[in-house]
Amino acid sequence: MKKTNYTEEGIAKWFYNYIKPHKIWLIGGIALSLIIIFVEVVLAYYLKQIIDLALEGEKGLFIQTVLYMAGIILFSTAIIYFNRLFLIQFAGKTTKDIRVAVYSHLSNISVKYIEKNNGSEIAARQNSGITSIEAFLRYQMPELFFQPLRFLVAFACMLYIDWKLTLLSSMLVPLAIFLGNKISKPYGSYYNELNERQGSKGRIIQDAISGLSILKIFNLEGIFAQKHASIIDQEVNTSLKIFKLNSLMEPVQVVLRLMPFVLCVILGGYLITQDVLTLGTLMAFLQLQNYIIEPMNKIPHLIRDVRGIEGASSYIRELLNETIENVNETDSSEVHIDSSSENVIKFNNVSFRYRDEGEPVLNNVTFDIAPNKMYALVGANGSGKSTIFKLITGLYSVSHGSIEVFNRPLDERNLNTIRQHISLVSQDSHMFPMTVAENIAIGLPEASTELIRNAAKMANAHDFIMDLPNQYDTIVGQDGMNLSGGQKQRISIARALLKNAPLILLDEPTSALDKSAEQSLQKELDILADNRTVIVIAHSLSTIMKADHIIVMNQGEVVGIGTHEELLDNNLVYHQLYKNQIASHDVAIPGDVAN
Amino acid sequence: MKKTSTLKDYIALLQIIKPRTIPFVIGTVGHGAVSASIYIMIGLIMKFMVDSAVKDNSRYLTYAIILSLATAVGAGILLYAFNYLRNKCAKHAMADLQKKVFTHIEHLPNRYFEKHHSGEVISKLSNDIGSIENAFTSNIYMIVFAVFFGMGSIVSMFILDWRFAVLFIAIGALTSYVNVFFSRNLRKINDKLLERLGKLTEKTIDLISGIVLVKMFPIRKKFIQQYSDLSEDTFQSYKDSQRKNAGIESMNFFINWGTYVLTLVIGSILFLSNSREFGTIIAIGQLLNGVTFLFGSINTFIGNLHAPLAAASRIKAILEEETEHLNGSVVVRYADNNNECIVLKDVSFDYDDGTHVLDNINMLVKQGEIAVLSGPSGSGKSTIIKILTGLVPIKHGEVYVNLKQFKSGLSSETSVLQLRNVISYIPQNAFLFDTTIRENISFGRLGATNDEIIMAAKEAHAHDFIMSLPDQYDTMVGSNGVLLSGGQKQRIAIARCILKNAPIILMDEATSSLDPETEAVVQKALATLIEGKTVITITHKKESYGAADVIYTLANGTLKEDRMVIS
Repeated sequence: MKKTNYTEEGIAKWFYNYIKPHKIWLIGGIALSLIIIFVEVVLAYYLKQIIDLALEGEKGLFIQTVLYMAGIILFSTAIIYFNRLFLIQFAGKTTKDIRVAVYSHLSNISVKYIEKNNGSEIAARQNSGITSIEAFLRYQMPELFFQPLRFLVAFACMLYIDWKLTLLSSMLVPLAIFLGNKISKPYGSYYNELNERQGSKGRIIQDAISGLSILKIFNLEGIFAQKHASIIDQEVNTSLKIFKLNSLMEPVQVVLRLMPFVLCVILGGYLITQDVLTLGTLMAFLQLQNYIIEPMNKIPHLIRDVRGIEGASSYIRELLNETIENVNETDSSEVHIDSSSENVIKFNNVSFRYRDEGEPVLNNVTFDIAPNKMYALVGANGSGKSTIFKLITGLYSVSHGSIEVFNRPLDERNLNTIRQHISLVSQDSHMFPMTVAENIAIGLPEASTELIRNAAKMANAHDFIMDLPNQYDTIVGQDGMNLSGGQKQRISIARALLKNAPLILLDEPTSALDKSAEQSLQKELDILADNRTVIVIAHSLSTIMKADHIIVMNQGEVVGIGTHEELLDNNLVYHQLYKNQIASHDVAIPGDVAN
Repeated sequence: MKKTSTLKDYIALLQIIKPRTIPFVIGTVGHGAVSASIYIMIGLIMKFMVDSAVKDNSRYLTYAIILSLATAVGAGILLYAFNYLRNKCAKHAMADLQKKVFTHIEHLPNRYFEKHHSGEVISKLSNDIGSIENAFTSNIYMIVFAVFFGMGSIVSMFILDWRFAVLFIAIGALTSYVNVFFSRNLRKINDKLLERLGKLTEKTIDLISGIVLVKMFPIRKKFIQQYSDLSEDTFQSYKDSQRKNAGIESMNFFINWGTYVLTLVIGSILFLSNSREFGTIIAIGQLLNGVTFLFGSINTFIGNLHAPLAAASRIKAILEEETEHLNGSVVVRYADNNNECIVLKDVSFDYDDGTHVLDNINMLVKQGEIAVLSGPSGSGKSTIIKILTGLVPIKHGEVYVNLKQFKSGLSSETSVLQLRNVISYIPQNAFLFDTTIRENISFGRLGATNDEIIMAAKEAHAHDFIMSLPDQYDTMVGSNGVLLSGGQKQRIAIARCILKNAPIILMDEATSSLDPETEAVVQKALATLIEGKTVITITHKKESYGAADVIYTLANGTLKEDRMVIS
């Protein structure tokens, strides 16, 4: 991921976008904070009154003041409660928005990004990033308004009471801010470091779990434990640096907390003995001093946390900045499937490379796909067949040339609309951790049980599903762990059939199927191909020979298009492929059932 | 999830810090005591100050000054030392714990991960560890501090005036009750919040791993809706939990000020009747903070321990999860004259849920033979591979692996690790670790030299394409090798096995996901690998049967043997 250097202003703007819809709660919370500050000053004043009245022996006024004070305390208790409620609403709602924004952004992000980054790492870092943002919105951000203001108001009142006492007792404030700033400077980078370690730790754990069998069979437990341990040790080192700073900050704060108090006590005590000050005034003064000491203590922490949020939220910000697919949502044109139109797909001199500096995977590829025909894409692995599917579906975009799908250039179309009209069965039969029925129903979310079962039957999946413990309601484990490769493949074919799109792309749909399953699927495909366009990547000769047209690929180029007979006669690459197939069939054992 | 923490949970939590108990206790107690004494000192300083003001006696003022300076200097140094010591111990303990858990996870049997989402395991490792760490760096400290602060204040109050002390302990008890009242159900709410946060992570992982399907099928809206609903539920849980805290916070404000004023009122009445020193009243007013803090927060602080306690018992449960038996059910025997390399005798296998997979299987593969294992999907072929690699134990029957003097000095053993040393396995989809190609190959034999790695790659027909990659052998393959094609991954996996040079090779549809052209290259690589080795290969490609010495067909859990006439 590219490192983007954000200015502080940029970060504030980023946050403001998400805060905006819920700012009313923040404003309400801050308004109540203002009342709290005001009430605190009033309470300090009444404190002075009570003590002075007690010392003077004014009984009647004393009782009256106590009653006033009780009322104010009750009032501010309610205010504090509502202040917290507002801020909870604010932080909770904003966080929820950010969470959902990240999720929907991820759903639109390019496949390229997902393939380059580890899923668990993305999830882990997203999680920790959002947790710190939530804490920041709930506590640190409102405090950033509250504490400085509280400080100013209390300070003004203290100046009003006795400016000399005030200045003397608070002369350490600038020093506190200076030290706090100085000590907290490296925090941002430390937290960033920690965050990255968290990511690589997640990656290694994920690797160990998903490759557990291989890890065990190669006796790699030791080496992976070592790798994991070294990341942990680095993490400890960074954390200890943070702890050192924290520990250093604490005594600084204690001294700062005590010094004004001590100075105040010494000077104030002296002033009382000189009858310049009453004890009540001094007590009120000390109470007000609490309201300037607390901000003094908290502001350095706040500065630290604000620096921390820069690092902690940077992953989320970068993720949301990651370019999403060119979905072209502005295009609202419908797809018209017209069987009289010349072609469904048109590749014009298409070249493609996965990495900017890498070798081209496709080189000047040109071909047309006519409607309602069946095409076979053949060629060696790495010749670019699967890549063609990725380009048609817009999962990757071309480097040079152009693709027309349903009679208009792909990059002008709304990819979501295009994809609605394509059924894709890719090599990887991915399963979601839901029931078998739900896994099939992703092809058509509103499908009835009847339709789902029909699709399963067509894909030859119904029988094995009925043998599962809870049949269609069996929960498929993460990535279909409780199903075999063939079973997963049949479910993914069922979902593609359920989608019932006019263009069907099949990437080696039978690689994990046994002969009989392959044959019955073949029959279904023949029926489907009557009124749909089908492109199938296959090596099975029986599949290839059924196609109306065969496109032969070699090292990223189309080297021939035609029927089986045509190509056999005049295409060397195809001839060779055919010979390989025949050769491997020649060694079939006696007793093998002929196709 | 458990609702109450038991003594067992506490023991599980405390065991984590065990080897560092003494420095951790010193750091925590020291930090708590010093911090608490600062606040108590403030009370005493105020008393001296007020006494000096009311009584016009500057001697008390001198006391106040000396006490202040001593506190500031002493506390500053001690706080730094104790705080750092405490956190350092906690961090090291957490590092040890994480290493221990990771090593344990590596040794768990595969079936554990069939039942547990990898997202769940990862979240356990990050959230639970974080929560436990929080207990040691913050929660426990807060309890210790509250106890020192509260008890110190109570003791000081008793010294100053026992009647006040009694009164405030009573008020403290009331505070405590109010807090319990406000925080009831808090645990349940917090547990629910955590559970929902975990679900959110799982949903994100599901989205990412199925991203192509999300794009190709009309499910994005549904997924986002589900996630959004779950986020809304999470927000509600968050609100419930935070609202409780808000209630506690505002009640504490009320109690703090209420008792402060009450002290002043009672004190003033006593003062007006001239029986008490006003400085004592002020000091007690200050010390009151400690009492209300103790009674008001201890319940919350102990409540906060619930999450780490639950986390500790979850982590403990992982650690108690039975690891693979290193003493497996496959007997490896070393003998010169035994030609029967792999022998399965009356082997049966059932899953935990009772499903029959294998029923009285008998199988024999002689030294240097190639055996083909075929049968419809789900018939149990892969289970045989799992048994032979020691990934699952058998319940009935016997399995022998006989080797010709592979290892001297031993006649027979059942160690799973030894078994795995003599077996290489090529699955249908090669698994590569998220590191360089070089390291992936070197996993075949740790400590292999660079030349040996390159030699293995050449024999696996992988060297040429590796050299054409931008970083050659140092190319990072990405998560599970996403940056490479299936054939490339398979060849790297074969190079890894060539380096391992085990006498027995197991293959599970090793080339079925490849096209004939690539398959040809991979077949060549495999030919190098299996030369002179004993091989079992699972395949449904009849083409592969040609080279087989024996073919076993598995159907409904039983085996049919079909030995070829050697021509």
